[in-house]
Formats: sequence, C-alpha cells, structure tokens
Amino acid sequence: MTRRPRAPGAWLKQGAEQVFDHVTLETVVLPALADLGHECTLPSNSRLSKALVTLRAYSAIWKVLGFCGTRMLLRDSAYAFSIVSRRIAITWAVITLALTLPPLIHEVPRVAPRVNLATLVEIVLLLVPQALAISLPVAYFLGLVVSVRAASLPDRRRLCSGVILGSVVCGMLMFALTMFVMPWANQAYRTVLSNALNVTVRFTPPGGPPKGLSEMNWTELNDAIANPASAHHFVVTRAHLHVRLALCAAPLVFGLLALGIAGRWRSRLATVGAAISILLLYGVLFGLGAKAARDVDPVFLGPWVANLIVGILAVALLYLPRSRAVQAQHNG
Amino acid sequence: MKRRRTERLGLSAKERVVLELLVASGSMYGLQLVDESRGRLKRGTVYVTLGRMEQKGLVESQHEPATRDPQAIPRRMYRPTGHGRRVLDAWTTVARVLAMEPGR
Repeated sequence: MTRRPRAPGAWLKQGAEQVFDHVTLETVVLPALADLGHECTLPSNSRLSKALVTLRAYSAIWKVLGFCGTRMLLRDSAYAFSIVSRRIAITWAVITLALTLPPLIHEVPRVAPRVNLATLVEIVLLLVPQALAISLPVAYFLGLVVSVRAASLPDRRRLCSGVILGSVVCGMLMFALTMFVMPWANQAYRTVLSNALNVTVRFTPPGGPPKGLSEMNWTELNDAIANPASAHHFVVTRAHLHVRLALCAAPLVFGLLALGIAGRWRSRLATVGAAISILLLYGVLFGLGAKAARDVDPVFLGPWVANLIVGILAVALLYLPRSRAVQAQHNG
Repeated sequence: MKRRRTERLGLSAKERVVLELLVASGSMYGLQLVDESRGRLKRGTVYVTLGRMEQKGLVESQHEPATRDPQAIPRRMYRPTGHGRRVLDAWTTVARVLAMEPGR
C-alpha cells in the first residue's frame, strides 16, 4: 500500500488552525494556502522552474503568516495591556511600598539624627530598587490573575498571546533590574550609608565599600566566574548568578500560572487565595533552592527548581479540564 | 459613528488597484490579481488586503467548485460588491474632478 502524498501546505494549514482566529484563517490564510496548492500542482517545463515556483510560493506564504501573526500579537497585546496594565501598576506600587517600609522603619531612625535631609531622601530612594525586583513578578502575577479572571472566555483566549509577550517583556525588565539596577542601588546605598555614618575605614578602591555578590552587576559576575579567586568562590558566584537568572524567568512562569488559575474557581476569593498560596509555595521553594544552590550539583538546579515545579503546575492547570459549572459560567 | 463611516469609504492605493482589476474582469483569484497588477500588488500582502476589503464590504468571495483532489484547499474567487463598485466610481470621479481643477 503506497502512502498518499500530502497536499502542498497541508501542515502549514494544520499549524495555522491552532494559532489564528476563524476570521483571519478564513479570509487571509486559507485563500493564500489554496493558491499555493494550486500553483504547486501546475505543470512546468523543468524541475528547476518548478522548484523556483514552489520556493516563491512558500516564501509568500511565510510572509502572509508572519504578517498575520505579528498583527494578531500586537492587537492582542494592546488589548491585554489596556485590560491589565492598570491593575498591575496599582498592585506593583502597593507591594513595593509594603516591601520598602520595613527597612525604612529600621534604618531611618538610626541615621536620621546624623544626616541632612538630602542624604535621608537619597537613602530612602535607594531602598526602592531593592524592592522592585521582588514586587514586579508578584504584582504581575496577582494583577494578571484578577484581570484574566474577570475576562470572558473568548477574551481570555485573546489575552493568551498578549500575556506571553507581556511575560517576555516583564522578564527583560527583571533582567535589567536584577543585573544592573539592583546591584547599583545596593552599592550606592552602602556607600551613602557608610559616608553618612562617618565610617573611617579606608576603602580600596576608593569611593565605597568593596562589592559583595549582591553589588556585582551582570558583567562583574561573569568576570568573577571567569577568574575565580578559589573553587568555592566559583561555585558561590555561579549559584548567585543562577538565582538572579531564575528570578528573571519568574514572570513567564507566573504568566502561564495566571492563565491556568483564572477561571478555575467560581469564587473570586478562592482564585485569589489559590494564587497567594502558590505564590507562597514558590517563595519557599525559591528560598530553599537558592540556599541549597551551593551544595547541590549541578549548581543551577537549586535556583531553578521553583520555576520548574511551579511551571509544571501552571501547564497542568492550563490543560486540566474545568468543572462544568465554571465552563457554563464562562461560556455566558 | 462618523469615524466608522469614513473608514468604510476609505480606499488605499492597493484596495483601489484590486477594485479596478475586479471591476474590469468580473472575478479573480488572489494569485491572478497579483499577476494582472504588473507588480503593483505583492503576493505576501494581497490576501491581507482582500481580507480587509471583504470585512469592509468592498469585495465578496466564494469557494471554487470542489476539485478532483479532496485534500486540496478550495481556492477563493473574489468579485466586487455593489458597494465596492460605487466606492470605486466615487473615487474615480473625485480623482477626475481634481485633475481638471485649474492650477493643478
């Protein structure tokens, strides 16, 4: 029994059916694929000219798919942005404030009598970037859960691609925060504080206290790994780098998790409760993993274990069937 | 409301080429439009243009009759709607009037 050859563009059609909405599929993608199929079956003078025609046809199809994909992604992202950005921004501000307050309460009374107002403001402002790296993924997750839950099922499907793009953008922002802004703020904070408290130690190099791992940026960490002072230092620095990288990937895991959690329970309280529980679980796993990173081989396993476990949970929640009552509610 | 009406009447250069070709020939496939346009329409964007024009009600389409190969995706034949013909007429008239204006 001979196997029947597939029609030209058949696998592209299957892929497009999974990605594009019905209107785009019917009005743009399928007509283009139909013409591709027709063109590829036309008789031609030589094999070379047939190959050229096929190549030209497929390149045009990829252009159509790329155009439709980009348009869909941008349209859905704009929609997702308009729906969730305000909630995420408010949650981010609240959590940042909540994380900044404890060190503020601890430090300000200690240094306030010994510094002028400008230095005090500088110290307070330098505390903010230290909180941002934690508050951003948490706020992103909670803002998404609340927003996606409120959306109807068709709107939720439109939110998916926007959420994925948003998670990537958020991850890039986290990279900038954890690898550059936070180390700079940490070092600046220590310098301002030591100057304010009149520490008489002479620093080498001059200008501030020597940098610890938390004060090293991306370049400095990589330099320290490339030229380690000792085997122990090499392991510790690598573990620290992976902790920061794992933190950068957290928005992607949280984005998927938000899509999986939202709409799984009818009650808003249950949804937010589950979200906070998983967030706490992530925090515990991440803390344990970061602590264990120096002792576990390979080094990256510890920091990434929280992302791995919660990521698997997110995918499972995305694909597990919802209860009939919840489905009926979302179908309107 | 006003904006929506303007969008319905708006005609880009590519849409105008498509309408001119369709009005002249009656009905055509996407690929035929590209071939007949002498480079004014591109294969990568003609389907997007046709899809948009269909949503605006300027053209309508129907599948070709079933072919011998059941696996093949049926091609889509496009033809102008009455609204599309009127819009093209209006644009042609406006273009003619502007061309006749003294000092242009």
